[in-house]
Amino acid sequence: MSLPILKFDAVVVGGGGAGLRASLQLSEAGVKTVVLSKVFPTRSHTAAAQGGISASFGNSEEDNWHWHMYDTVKGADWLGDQDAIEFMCKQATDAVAELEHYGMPFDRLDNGKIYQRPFGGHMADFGKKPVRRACAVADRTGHAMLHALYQRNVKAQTHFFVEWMALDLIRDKAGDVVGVTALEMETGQVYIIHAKAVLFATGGSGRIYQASTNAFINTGDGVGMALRAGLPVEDIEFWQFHPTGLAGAGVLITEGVRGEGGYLLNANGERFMERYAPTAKDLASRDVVSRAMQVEINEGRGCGTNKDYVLLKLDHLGADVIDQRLPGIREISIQFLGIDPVKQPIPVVPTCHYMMGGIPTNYKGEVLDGVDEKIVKGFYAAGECACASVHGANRLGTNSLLDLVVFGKSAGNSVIEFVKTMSDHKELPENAGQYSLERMAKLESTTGEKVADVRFAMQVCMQQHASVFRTQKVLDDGVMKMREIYERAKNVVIEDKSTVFNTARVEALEFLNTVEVALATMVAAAARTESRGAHAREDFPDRNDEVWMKHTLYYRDGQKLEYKEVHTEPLTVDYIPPAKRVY
Amino acid sequence: MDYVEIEKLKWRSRRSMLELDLYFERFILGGSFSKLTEQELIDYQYLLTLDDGDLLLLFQEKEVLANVEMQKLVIKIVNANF
Ligand SMILES: Cc1cc2nc3c(=O)[nH]c(=O)nc-3n(C[C@H](O)[C@H](O)[C@H](O)COP(=O)(O)OP(=O)(O)OC[C@H]3O[C@@H](n4cnc5c(N)ncnc54)[C@H](O)[C@@H]3O)c2cc1C
Repeated sequence: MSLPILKFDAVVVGGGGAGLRASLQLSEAGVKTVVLSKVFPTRSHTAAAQGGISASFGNSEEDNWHWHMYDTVKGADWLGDQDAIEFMCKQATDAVAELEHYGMPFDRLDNGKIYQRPFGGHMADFGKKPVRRACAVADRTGHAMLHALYQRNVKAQTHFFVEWMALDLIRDKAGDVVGVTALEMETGQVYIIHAKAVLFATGGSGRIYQASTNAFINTGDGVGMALRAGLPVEDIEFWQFHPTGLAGAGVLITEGVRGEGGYLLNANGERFMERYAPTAKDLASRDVVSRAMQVEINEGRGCGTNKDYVLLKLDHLGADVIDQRLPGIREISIQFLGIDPVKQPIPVVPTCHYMMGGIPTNYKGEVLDGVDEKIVKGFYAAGECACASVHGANRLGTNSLLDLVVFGKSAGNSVIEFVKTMSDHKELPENAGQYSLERMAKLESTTGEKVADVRFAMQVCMQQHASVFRTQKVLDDGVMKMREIYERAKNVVIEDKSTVFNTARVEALEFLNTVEVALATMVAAAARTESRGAHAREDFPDRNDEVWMKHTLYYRDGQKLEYKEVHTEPLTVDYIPPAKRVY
Repeated sequence: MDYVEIEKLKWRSRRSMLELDLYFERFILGGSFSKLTEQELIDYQYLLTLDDGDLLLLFQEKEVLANVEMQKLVIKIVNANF
């Protein structure tokens, strides 16, 4: 069956912060660009980011990009590429100033400069004391960013295909990327978008876990598409967990609760953090608290009928403190769990928050294949779906929004240069689009399993076997179970076979991406026998630089793993050698 | 509204924040959405055009809509049960 073809110079898949920054760069340079997005761009997950965006302006106290770079390298537990980290930290102030110029109304100091607040891991003078580096627009930083970028794109005449879902990458015989297939939800029609360059900015995939702070839209489509197209995914075993997500709902309960004096209890009413971190107790770092909670649950001291959560006690703080200093928490807890934290403790579990791994790129946003980092012609990626790699094994808060705009722009610039070298589009391969149609047809088989059932099995498996408590046995069992689930995923079907605005079909197609990310995570995690950043192994508690200071590459074909060097040569400054990560 | 319009509303109930996804999921999967009258569906359509930050303030009952019927719908969404 031949599919309708639409031609653009560049197609950007994703209208979040990274996608919109990239498309703006392209459109302003006169590159004919279309942005595809499953939802209206300003409803992309970036809008959920409240904390802020980092840049070493030093508006309240001394700061500079060298310190920011050091913090990022250290936060990443020396798995980040130092050329990319230097690039990002150096560009940060210009990138934020640019956003301000685009109309982002940053909070200000009395002297008119951008107000900055402290954030975990951001320090002055190479780790000596906390520094105020986060710029914010009240508690709506991501939202304000999307609005500013979207408006600017409209002015620059970027084309938007909203409620379109990209299905697969199209690569030609040489392996170059020449377009994508995409589903227009409104009509159910599949198109080929033929382009000189394709840029992925599809965001994260936090929905692989049962407990996730991520909105439902974070299904890892970009990573799924790249894997199906034979490309690797990098460092996918590294997922950041937040200790206090509301049990059963996932909604993030800010660290501020513990900062105000709230603490965690197990089923025996014991304040267990005193055992794990006698000094910092409940205010120990995110990974330490998360693991302690999971150990309590695993050893049978969890609460509730299934003993699968612990309690966050804050009733002793009183209604005034809770209402005034911790806004929103009381409402969320009452509305979703029927529990008023003024009277009762809240059930919490360690909850997935951010995907450090992704599609391998360099700091120019060019996608790289293999251990020798061969550039995949015509393919670019930026934002949470990409791995540049600046976050390495652990991301610092507020560095993600920065990543979006710095690498969105940089990838846009690379596309501009690439498109200049091409007088015309490369030819589409024969039967381009056939693969996507076959995948869609398979969903309409008469027998098979329901998407919701297999998705639930995947989320439970990932939660139990690849969250914060990782041992060889737990992970090996997880690999076995995930492989079974992966086989089941091949046979999912949808009941509603209508073509027009069939949300069941879209969700099934999303799930087929999510399950790729889940299996990749489990296989990569089982192989890494060390603890580094967010990948914490009970049986290998130390970081092992001699063996493991290398990036994982996972391929779908044969579930193969390869390892490549971490970039140890920054662009202009000296290498920051590994040290113990203590705060 | 026809089937397609209704499916569209369901899709557009996917938001940028998990909190909002959860309110809408409860409302839709719990069966309350399918009981909406034609006028309520039109109001629902309007609610979906609001910014997510503003929707959250409404759902957390920190702000109230002047339109009484629309506000009733907000309360219905907030109080929906599985
Ligand atoms: C609760 C929460 C708070 C956070 N707070 C902060 C913070 O304060 N500071 C910070 O730096 N980071 C924060 N983060 C992380 C940060 O928000 C994200 O990493 C970042 O917003 C991701 O942006 P993105 O542009 O890569 O993707 P997104 O904003 O997720 O956008 C992805 C886009 O891709 C589109 N898309 C996906 N798949 C397809 C497909 N198949 N076809 C078509 N379109 C597709 C979507 O429609 C969407 O437009 C937070 C994360 C969470 C969960």
